[in-house]
Amino acid sequence: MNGIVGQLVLKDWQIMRKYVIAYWLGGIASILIAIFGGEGLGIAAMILFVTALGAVGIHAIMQTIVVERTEHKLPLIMSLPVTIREYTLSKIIINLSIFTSVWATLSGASLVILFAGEEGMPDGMLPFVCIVLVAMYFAYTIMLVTALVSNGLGATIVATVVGNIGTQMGLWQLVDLTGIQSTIDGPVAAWNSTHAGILLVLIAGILVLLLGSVYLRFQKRDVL
Amino acid sequence: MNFAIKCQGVVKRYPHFTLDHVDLMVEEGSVMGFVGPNGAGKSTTMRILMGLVCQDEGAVDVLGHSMPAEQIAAKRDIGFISEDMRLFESETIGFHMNFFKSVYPSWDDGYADDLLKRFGLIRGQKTKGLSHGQRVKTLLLLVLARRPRLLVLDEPTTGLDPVARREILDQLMHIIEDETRTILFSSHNTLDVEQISDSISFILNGRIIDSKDKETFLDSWRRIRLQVPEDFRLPQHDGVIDIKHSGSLAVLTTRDFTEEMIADLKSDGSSVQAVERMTLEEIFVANAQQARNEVAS
Repeated sequence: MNGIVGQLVLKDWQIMRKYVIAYWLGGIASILIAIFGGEGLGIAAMILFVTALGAVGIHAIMQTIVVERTEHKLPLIMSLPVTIREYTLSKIIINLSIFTSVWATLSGASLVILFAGEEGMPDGMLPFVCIVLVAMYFAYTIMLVTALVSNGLGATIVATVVGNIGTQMGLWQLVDLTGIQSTIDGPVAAWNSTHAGILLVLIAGILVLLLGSVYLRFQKRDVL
Repeated sequence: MNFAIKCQGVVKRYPHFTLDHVDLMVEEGSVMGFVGPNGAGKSTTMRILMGLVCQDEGAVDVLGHSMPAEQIAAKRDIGFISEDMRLFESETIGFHMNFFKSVYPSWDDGYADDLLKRFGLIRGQKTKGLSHGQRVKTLLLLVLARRPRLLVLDEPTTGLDPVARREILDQLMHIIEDETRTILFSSHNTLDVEQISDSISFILNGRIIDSKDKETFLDSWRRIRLQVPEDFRLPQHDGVIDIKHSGSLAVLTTRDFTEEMIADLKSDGSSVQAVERMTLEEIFVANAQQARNEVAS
């Protein structure tokens, strides 16, 4: 990371850090509720978990990319000795860092809680839960690249809605696949080619989306 | 002669506007006023100078760097303020100062503190609560404290109250004392431009319609009020861009005034009632009118 990219990332982190900590605490709270709240609060814990994970991604994208343009902070930043490429890199780094740190922490914690011990979910569900978590990252990536390429509020909101609905519908379809159905209720986590294939497609999709957005941004000749 | 800015044949095409073969030369150490109505192309030109917008044709050289290719090197020495530029509202003035300091090794803490006091700004104040005048002062502080060689100011005084405008202009006058600094200053307020500029360029509909040093503008433009005999036909003079004739009174506007012109008018039988100097605003309006007439014809 060169000097100016680092400074831009640090600037965005300083602006976002209090919100990130709040969302992270919200996610941790959801996990604690799941552990200690009993069955009655299970749904509340899940809603809080999904909200914290979704909100941190949306908030960071809106604050660091969309609002920077719509509220005319971009001329200030682009008057600095920075190119559109360095600016784009800084936005990808800060957004992926924020989301990945919260996503990884909460995903890891939730996997432990869901599957550790005798009273957890059947281990057969583990591959599908992993797919759900990676799909959430995929939906987030759709939002991020749309914001990066369009810089527009409308397009980013549409991408958020379409990405989330599309991901949920996609997951509903996946549950019916034989490769998923055959293992989901089992006592052990039985990974098969269906699980691996879906994860591979999602991860490849995330990489293609990110690289594509970088390519498109690098083609732009006008910043304002 | 060294030029801080050299634009030659710059073209930028948008669906409903074209910056049309703009030539703009700003001498190092000088202040150029860039005057034009809204939508004339001032901001587009300045964004091209900053490398924020890429020209479709033409060459742009800023502080010896070709733009936009060498924008990193150029922007280290350029301070840019535009009227629509905003600060990060959730943060303080001090946050912005620290951020700019981290980017520019040339940041001068002492000068920054001096400007804070002079502008009546408070380091810990959140920028959300700043007035328009305070925001412009903060931007000027952020730009000046790193001591750039070139200031590109896009309508910095637009919308300011008279007191804030005076403070900003005073600060710019102070900067001008350092003769190594160059300023390109755009405005549609000709009074501001007249006060601080050494040279002036007029832009209209994407074209530079006139560009000279300020004194030449003010010395060469005149409005001449004449009393003329009935059926008198005013003689043709180079540089006369407008003649209004009503009965025995005529008003003639020239962009190329000489004393010989008065002698000629008198010898042709007209009586010169007054020879009036024109303000920069009147010169711009007359210039713009002439440019429009040329396009129409």
